[in-house]
Formats: sequence, C-alpha cells, structure tokens
Amino acid sequence: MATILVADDHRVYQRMSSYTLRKHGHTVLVASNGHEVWDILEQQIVDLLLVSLQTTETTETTERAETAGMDALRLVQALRADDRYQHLPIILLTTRPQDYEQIRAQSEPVNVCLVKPISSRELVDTAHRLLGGRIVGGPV
Amino acid sequence: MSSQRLANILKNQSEEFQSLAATWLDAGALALDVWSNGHVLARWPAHQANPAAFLANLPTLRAPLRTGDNLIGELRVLGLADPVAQKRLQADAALITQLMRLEDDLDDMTAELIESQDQLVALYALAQSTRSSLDLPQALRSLASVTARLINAQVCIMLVNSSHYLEFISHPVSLLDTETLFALFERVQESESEILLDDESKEPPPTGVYNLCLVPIHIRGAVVAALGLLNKPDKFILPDLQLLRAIAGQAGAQIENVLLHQETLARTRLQTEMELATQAQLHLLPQHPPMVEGLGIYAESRPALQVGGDFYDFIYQMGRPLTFSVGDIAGKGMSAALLMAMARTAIRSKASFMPRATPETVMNRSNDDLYGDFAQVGKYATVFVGQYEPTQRRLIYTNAGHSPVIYCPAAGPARILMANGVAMGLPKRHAYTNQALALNPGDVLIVATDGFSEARNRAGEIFGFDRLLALTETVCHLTPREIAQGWFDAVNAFEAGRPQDDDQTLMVLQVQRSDAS
Repeated sequence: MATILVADDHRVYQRMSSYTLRKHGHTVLVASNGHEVWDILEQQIVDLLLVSLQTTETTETTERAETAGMDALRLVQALRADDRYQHLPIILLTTRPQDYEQIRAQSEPVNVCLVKPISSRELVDTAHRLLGGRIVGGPV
Repeated sequence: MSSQRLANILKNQSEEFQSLAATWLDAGALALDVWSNGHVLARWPAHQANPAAFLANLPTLRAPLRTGDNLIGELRVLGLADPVAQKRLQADAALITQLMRLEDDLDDMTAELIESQDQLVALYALAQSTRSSLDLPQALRSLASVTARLINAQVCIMLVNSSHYLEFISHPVSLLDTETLFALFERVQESESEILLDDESKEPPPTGVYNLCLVPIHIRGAVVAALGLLNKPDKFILPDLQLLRAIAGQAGAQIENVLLHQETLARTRLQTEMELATQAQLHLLPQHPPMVEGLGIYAESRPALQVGGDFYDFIYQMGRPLTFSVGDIAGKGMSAALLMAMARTAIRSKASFMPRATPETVMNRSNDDLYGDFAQVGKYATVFVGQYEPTQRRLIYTNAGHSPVIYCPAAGPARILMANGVAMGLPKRHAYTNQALALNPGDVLIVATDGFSEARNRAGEIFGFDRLLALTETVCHLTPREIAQGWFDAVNAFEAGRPQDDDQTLMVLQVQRSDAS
C-alpha cells in the first residue's frame, strides 16, 4: 500500500483522516504545519499528500494558521514550484467552497479539492483514485 | 493491543521517549531498548559506539509491557543492575502500557466519531437529494434505501397513510405481509410511540423477522406515516434509534412538502377552473340592457363566491314586448351556478321561441323542463318573470316565490309585490298565473334577490324589507344605475365589512318621464 502524508493543524481531523487511511492498510505520516510537511518530505518518500485548508478570514483561525505556519495554498504552490514535488498527488480539504474556486483560478495546483464534511468512503475512494497504480513519489 | 500499536506510539511520542532515554543515560545506563516479538523496536542512543556483543553481555534491567496476560513488549536498560533502577524501569513500563491503552481507547472513539460523521454526511446528502423531489414514491424509495444501508438492516419499510395519500414501501424486499405491516402501523399511529421487537422484548417479532423497529412520522402534528427497519444483524441499539428518529423527521418534512405541493396544485387547478367558470357565467348574463322606448333599465349581479346562483336576463325582439327574468337558485357556489345556467337557458328559450309567450306560459313550461333535474338534486329556484309592453306601459308578471320585488310608484309609497306562486323545482308542481300592473312615468320596479333583504350586520341583524322600502323611496327619483348603486352602497354599509353571505342581484326598471332624455 501507499505512504500518505496527512497535513492538518486540527488534531481531531488529523486523527480521523489518519485512522481512516491506516484502516485501509496505508502507512500514514502526520504533520501539523507547513514546516513539518517539508521536513517529512525531505526525509521520506510520500505517495500522496492530504492537506486541510485553514480559513484565513477569522482572527482566531488566522492566528492559529500563522502560528502553525500553515497556509495550504501557499504550501501547495511552493511544492509545485519544487521539481521534486511537481507531480505529487495532492488532495485539498477545505470548509469553504469559495476557496475551491480561488484555487481553481490559480492553475489548479491540487489534483482534487474536497469540501468538508466528507465521508470516510469519499476520502478513501479519492485517495485510491489518485494513487491509481501505486504511484511512488515522483512524476505520475 | 499489538506491537504495531507500540511502534506507532514510539513514532508519535518520539520526543518524549528521547527525553526518557536521556534520563536513563544520564543515570549511567549505556542504552535504553524497547523490544517486541524478539527484536529491538527502538534503541537510545540510536547510534551505538559499542559493538552488539559487548551490549549483550552487559547487566540488563527488564520490565514487561503487558496488559493482563498479553505481553506486548519489553523495556530494557543496559548497563545498570540496582534494585532502585529496576523499580523505576517498572514504573516507566506501567506508564507506557497505560499510554498504549489510551491510544486504543482513542482509536475506538475515533472510529465512532468517523461513523457518526459518515452518518451525518449521508443524512445531509439525503436531505439535499430529496428536498426538491416532488415525486414522493421515488423520494421515499431513496430514503428507504439509504436508511437500510446507514443502519445496516436487511429491510426498510415506510408507510404513509394521510387523508388523501397512501403509500407503502418495503426496500429491497418484502418480509411481512401487508396486513401485518398495517396492523403495526396502526399501533404506532394510535400510541404515537415506537415499537421495538426482538428476542429480548416481551412481544416477539412477527414471523419472518428476528427484530423490528418502527418509529412514527409526524406530519402537521399527527402521525400519518411510519419508518421501520427489519432484521438488523446486531440488535438495535440507542444510536440506531436516534438515527432512525432523525431520518423519520427528515422524511416527515419531505412528505409534508410534497403533500403541500399537491394541495397547492389542486387548489391552483380549482382556482383556474373557478375563474373559467366565473368568466363563463359572466357571459351568460347580459352585457348591456336592451334599449326599450320609454324605459330605463339597469341590472347587476355580485356573487358571494366566484360563481353564484343568481341570474337575470332580457329577451327583447322586434315586435314583441320586453320579457325579463330574475332568479335565485338555492345555495351558492358551483352547484348553484350550474343550475343557474340551466334555469336561465330554459326561461330564455321559452320566452324566445314560444308563440305568444307570457310570463305565465314561460314559467309553467320552464318548470316542466326543470322540475325533474331540480328535484333530483333537491334544489329549487325563486324566479320572477316579467313582460313589459312599452306602448301601453303595462307590466305582466308571475312570481315564483321570489323576493324582494319592490314597486315604487312615482307618487306613492313603495310596496312589496308578493309572490303568486311557489318556487320552481319544488315537489309540488304549480300552475303559475299572470299578474298585471299598469305603470306610470316615474314608476320604478326593482326585482332583486334575497342577498339584499337578508344581508346581516355584525350584530346579526338583517337588513330586511322595511329598510329596502325606505331606501327605495329615497332613491327612486335617481337613474336606474344610481338606484342600483344606492342599494349596493346601503347594504354594504349595513354589513360594515362583514363578508357577503349570499349573491346580490337586482334589476331596476324605471318608466321614464316625458321630459327624460
């Protein structure tokens, strides 16, 4: 099975995504902020990245996002700018449909954008669809 | 609990284990190991300067990582042997074991949380997919399918039994006969509470199922539907009942939405038909009164509902006197309107085509035609048929139970012209006869329906004949249109906003004075 990196600064959702994917036999690595994502990607081969987008309009969430160094869109754009991760399958989870539209307007840096709440079945099916024939790291 | 769990904890709590190892190393140990299934899962320090053979010969403290009889792994400290260190290592092992138990508990809670979220997502999707569906059977089938899947039961049943809608669904198969299902539904309906039958309940489930749960669905405060599940492999637990109740609430809203839509459609259809009927009936009434030499004429009808049972008509042909009629079918609404059309047509045809038709012959022949139909539906009609000869200023009339008919001579007090025959369509046939009245310039004849005389005010008092007579004397010098308007205005003022109880129709005939234009 695959190695999936779950990047979510909300611990409960991080755990739920990890549990679901582990239950289907995948190795799951977790990160709580953008720095940890980079650290893990430097050290390990990851087959799929699952990123949860934080809203940037509420003060509390903005503070948390800034403290955690997590801005999913900037993170994804930075990854895509790095040759090593240009083809890394990325699923973006967001609570705001308008974020999805914003992301689409920016040349679709992610493979799939899902609007929460999603069922565990949808998460697994999307992950498996992107993993396809067991993509490992580099170009698709 | 397994060594995989231990490995995960080591990975997830690596900093904490690093700190723990550092304290042991500071205390003089050469290494801290975590073992499981006969091999090292983790060792601190990770990079050992000492060869493995050397480490193997060192004194070693050991503490099992155990839950009950289940040995998960072992903590080992290399290079120390004192009893105090042993006790400390055992304490560390107990903490790590507890950590593993907590991780297991957390995993169980995570699994439940995921299941709850999945159910909520499914409910939300169900609500979205059915909210705009107006095909109720299809929506109910979708709902039954999702419910059975969500709660993992073999069959989902839905019964809807409202005043004008009956639907029964068993998805994907039928396990119980209709009679049994409706008996259960009636119990839920009467008690307005759930039924849960399994091998632990006092009452066993019906033959063919091993457990059953049926919850009521309330629509507009009454139980008119029920949602149930049959044959859940595990027994029904509280979360199942809670979810079923939530789905029942959603189903109730959906059913009510569709029923409201159907009622609105039916009302709209009826409204459209009523509007068409109103238009048709309006066209039955003369659009303009005929021009009769020396006679001013005005007529108007205001039904209480969209269609009514009052009518008036003029039949005026060259070389023949003016024949006119005013009628009132007992009752209101569509049934009265239908009979009104029949009566008006019968009278018109007799007045138009009978040779030497007089009010008496018109009334008798019309009654002959209409009696059978009116008697069959238990209706009757009061009718006034008049005939005015302008050259002689002579009025002939017959009055089949109709009132108020008011004659107001130019010089004298107004008076009621009493009926000289019973209403048309009553069981006893009647031979109607002509009455005659010579009219003079300025005389006014008002033939109205009892919607005026029986109009009620807020105190329940009726307008009555006396008021009508007094009113007529005050307005009889005006034009026929103004006289009619005066009647309507007076009765409206008397009713003072109270809804009109009956149709109000009147015809005003005024013999013009020689100096009238």
